[in-house]
Amino acid sequence: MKTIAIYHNKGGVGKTTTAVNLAAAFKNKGKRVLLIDIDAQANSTFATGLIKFQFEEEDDIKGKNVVQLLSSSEFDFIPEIVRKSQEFNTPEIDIIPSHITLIDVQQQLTRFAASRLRLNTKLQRVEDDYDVVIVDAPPSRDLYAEIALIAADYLIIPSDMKPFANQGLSNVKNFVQETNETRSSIGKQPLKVLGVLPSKVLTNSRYLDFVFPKQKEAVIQRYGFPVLDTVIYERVALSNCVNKTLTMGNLEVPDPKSIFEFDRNCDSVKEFRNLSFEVMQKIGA
Amino acid sequence: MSEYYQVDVKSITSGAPRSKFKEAELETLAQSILAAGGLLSPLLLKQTGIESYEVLAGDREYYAAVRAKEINSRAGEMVNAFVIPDKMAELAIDQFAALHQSPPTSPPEASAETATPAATSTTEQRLTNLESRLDGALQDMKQAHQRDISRLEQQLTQLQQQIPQKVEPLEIFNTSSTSALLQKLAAIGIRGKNAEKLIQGIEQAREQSAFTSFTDVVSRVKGLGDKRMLTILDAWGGMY
Repeated sequence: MKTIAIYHNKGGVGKTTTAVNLAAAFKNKGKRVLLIDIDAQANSTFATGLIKFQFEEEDDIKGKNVVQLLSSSEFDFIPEIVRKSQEFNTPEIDIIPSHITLIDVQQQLTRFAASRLRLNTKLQRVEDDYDVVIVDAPPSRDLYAEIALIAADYLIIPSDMKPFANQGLSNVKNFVQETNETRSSIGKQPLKVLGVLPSKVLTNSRYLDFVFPKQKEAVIQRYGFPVLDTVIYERVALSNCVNKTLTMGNLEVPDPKSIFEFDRNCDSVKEFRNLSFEVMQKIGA
Repeated sequence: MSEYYQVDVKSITSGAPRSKFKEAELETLAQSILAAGGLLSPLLLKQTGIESYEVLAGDREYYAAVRAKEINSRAGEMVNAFVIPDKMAELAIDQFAALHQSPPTSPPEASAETATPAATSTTEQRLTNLESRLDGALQDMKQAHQRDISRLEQQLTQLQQQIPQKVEPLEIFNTSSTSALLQKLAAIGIRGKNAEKLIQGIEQAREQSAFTSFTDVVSRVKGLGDKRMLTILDAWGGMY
């Protein structure tokens, strides 16, 4: 089992898009995939079709999600919490959903001596059940991000390569170093940074010829992170597949799809196939 | 700095034997811990490993917490504690003792002996304690056994509920909500205006009276021909 965290402390850099579609790409290659959403915004949970209810009373995630997983050490293990994505991809993927209540329990969980290690411990128990685990971490530097980075073996940092996102990279670097100390105390190897994934990159050719190579070079030179070969470009299909809905009159039901399900022939599909191939080569899965 | 945490009871050990403390007293304390939602006088712990701790002070409180966990394994899973760095251990123990006005690992024998002057030596006292603890443990085992069985039964029923109920297609026509119909039609490729018309047709017809057969559905829903009905039945027949 290989665990990959998708993390950047800058938001809006395509973290969730990367997490869900990379998970779908691995699944389509026949891997046994588990996606863990540990971001209270629950974007991955939505994107995999688990939030289709219209009213709060129909919320069937509240009592069974990542909150329970982190709250108890002797109960609520992964097989009890996991569910299948809905109409998201063929075949569907396994997902541990997140919930907005993750915000409420953060303070409490910070006081639990063992909460930082729980995801790690519980993942070890399903080691033989999955080939790839992808953790969608929150865009912040909090307990949940720490939990994700402690549990993971590898890190992918999606970035739109713009100045703000790149400046955030030094934060990411410090954070990785900090979690490495915790990791060494529990006998885990340091987190392997697979690299910065250029994401939401504009397809404008002038930009690609002149600005993009410089930004890429800056990441390598200034922050010492490798940059992945694959580039995920900003494309209409990629945002449409998450925002897809079924409508009738006033009724609007979310109907999010993986990029593979949405349009098998679009360019983004090739990009995510390349990404999954590149990642597989680098982690040897 | 001494850090305040909630620590998993199972990761704590104590050097003092449990028989040192009266079971009845531990029981009362345990009940109080559960009722108050936590131990209000935190334990002092020394960290001995990544997920292992040893009691520096508060052995009685520790065993009360253990007992609380025996009673309710979920509510008593964790206990309030201060994790004390090595160099501050002595200071912390002193403060604990001063606050509790008794030795940190306060065995309650002294008061017990004054209460019953004819009482026995410490050894016999401990024997009595051991015996009552054994009794208690046996009781617990019985209870736990029953609890386990009822929990298993509960889980079984839960599992049975989780096995997807096979829904008859006619049932879908009669009861599914608009949004459910929308999703189910979309799953077999009927979308947009077509789906909209069909759902309106279904809803209007079933308002008058419930569908009694597939023939009934076809004859009363406008725009639903035999051919499309067959497609729907093929898909929904295997739908859960």
